[in-house]
Amino acid sequence: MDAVTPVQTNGLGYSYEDGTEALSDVSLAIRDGEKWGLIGANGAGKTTLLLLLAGLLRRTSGAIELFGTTVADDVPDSVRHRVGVVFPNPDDQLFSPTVFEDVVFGPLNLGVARDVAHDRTHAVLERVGLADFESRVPQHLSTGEKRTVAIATVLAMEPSLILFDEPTSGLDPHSRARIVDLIRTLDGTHIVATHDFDVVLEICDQVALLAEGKVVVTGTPREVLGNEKLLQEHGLIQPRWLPYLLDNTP
Amino acid sequence: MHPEIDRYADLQSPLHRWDPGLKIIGLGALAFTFALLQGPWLCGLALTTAILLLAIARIPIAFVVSRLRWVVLFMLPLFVLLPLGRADGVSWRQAEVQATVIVLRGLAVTLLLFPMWGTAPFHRSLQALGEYHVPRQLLQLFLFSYRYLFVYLDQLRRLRGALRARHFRPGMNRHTLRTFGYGVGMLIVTSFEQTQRILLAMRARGYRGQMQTLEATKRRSADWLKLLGAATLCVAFMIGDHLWMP
Repeated sequence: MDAVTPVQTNGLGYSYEDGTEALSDVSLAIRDGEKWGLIGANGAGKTTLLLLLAGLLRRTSGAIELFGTTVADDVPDSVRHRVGVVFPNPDDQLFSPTVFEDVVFGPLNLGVARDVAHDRTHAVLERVGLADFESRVPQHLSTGEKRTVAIATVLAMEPSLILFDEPTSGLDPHSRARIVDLIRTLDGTHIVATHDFDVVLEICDQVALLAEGKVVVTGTPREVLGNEKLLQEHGLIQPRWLPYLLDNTP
Repeated sequence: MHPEIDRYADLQSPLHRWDPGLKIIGLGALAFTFALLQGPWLCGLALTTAILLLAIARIPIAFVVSRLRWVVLFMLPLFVLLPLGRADGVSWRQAEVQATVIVLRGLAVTLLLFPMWGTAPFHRSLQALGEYHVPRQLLQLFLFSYRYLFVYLDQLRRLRGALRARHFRPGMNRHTLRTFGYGVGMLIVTSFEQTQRILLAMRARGYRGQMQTLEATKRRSADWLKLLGAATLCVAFMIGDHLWMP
């Protein structure tokens, strides 16, 4: 386990070029090994926060500290390599002619030796249950399979912090369950941006509710998701089964 | 491998076993030689050679014919256009011979493309071009076109489906033009936005403008022998053509 705090943000803000504020004054401290859920209505700033943490957007205010390193305008490679991102649409993430080449892409970019990258790719595909998919064309996989490959591409880089953006959107119940089971088995620190409260309950220890670019509240899934009024005030609807589930689980 | 583009890339033949880099050089040189031939008989021989190479590559002739039909349709009018537009002092028959030479050369060169590009996975051939210092931006452009062309074709198909579902019937009118304009515009905008997302996803995986490859090139003596064979054919055709020239 890493002793330093993987993610610490203080007054983090981001504005688009036209001045529209997407995120403002976000302060979070995420400890090593924690699984955080980011919930919020569309446009609340969940994806923007993930992209900022991955160093794919430049903050316009505040500070980000990743693994004890204060991130200036550019995230240093040593830190960036420890952060993996699973994007919401796997078609944006998978671009190689075969599944194997897509998974090996990250390790090769990180300068991992070819034979090591090769072995690592085999191992990761085995781990996610897609050992037979190495020579398949990503484009022709089902959405669930594509999503699994997208996760494999990130796992092959062995990141300490994985950011999942809507990992279960558009999946059938069976594929969704597979993805959730897979994420639950992964070590490290995770941040999951989702509309799927089930995922939050199954995966996360902590939840941050975002609205209009600000963190409204943080707490355990039980505290946040159990507060129907709070959810309603910020454009979310508590599923009807949720109170029953919360009442009947320890 | 792409089921359409790389349909016959995993067959077993001497051409499939040929190192893609040397194959591009060898067959590329042969195609260049064919393109320079002047003698009609030699052009016929070039076409025969290309057909023979196709047979060696075991690429089904029906597949080749289906892909050639547009090339043939483009070239056939030459038999009429060249004689009609011939210069003073050139007989109809000479113009017909010239048209025959052009068509035979064109077919031979086009047929050579199948063993040249169709006997190895497309991305492997692109990697081989990278070894010859073809600009990496250009190769990446090809690689991404290769990957996303079919995604965008799917989008186009969905768009057409959506139009049909709302009873759109294309015609020669402003409404049709405007609808197509909106459709194409939307496709361009969504494609552009997707390219931005793809770039972000690649950067998140350590991409810094250079594609790393897993496979190291290993050339065997058989690869060099095949290159020598192609070079010999080139020289033989050039000598033959020189001897034919009046």
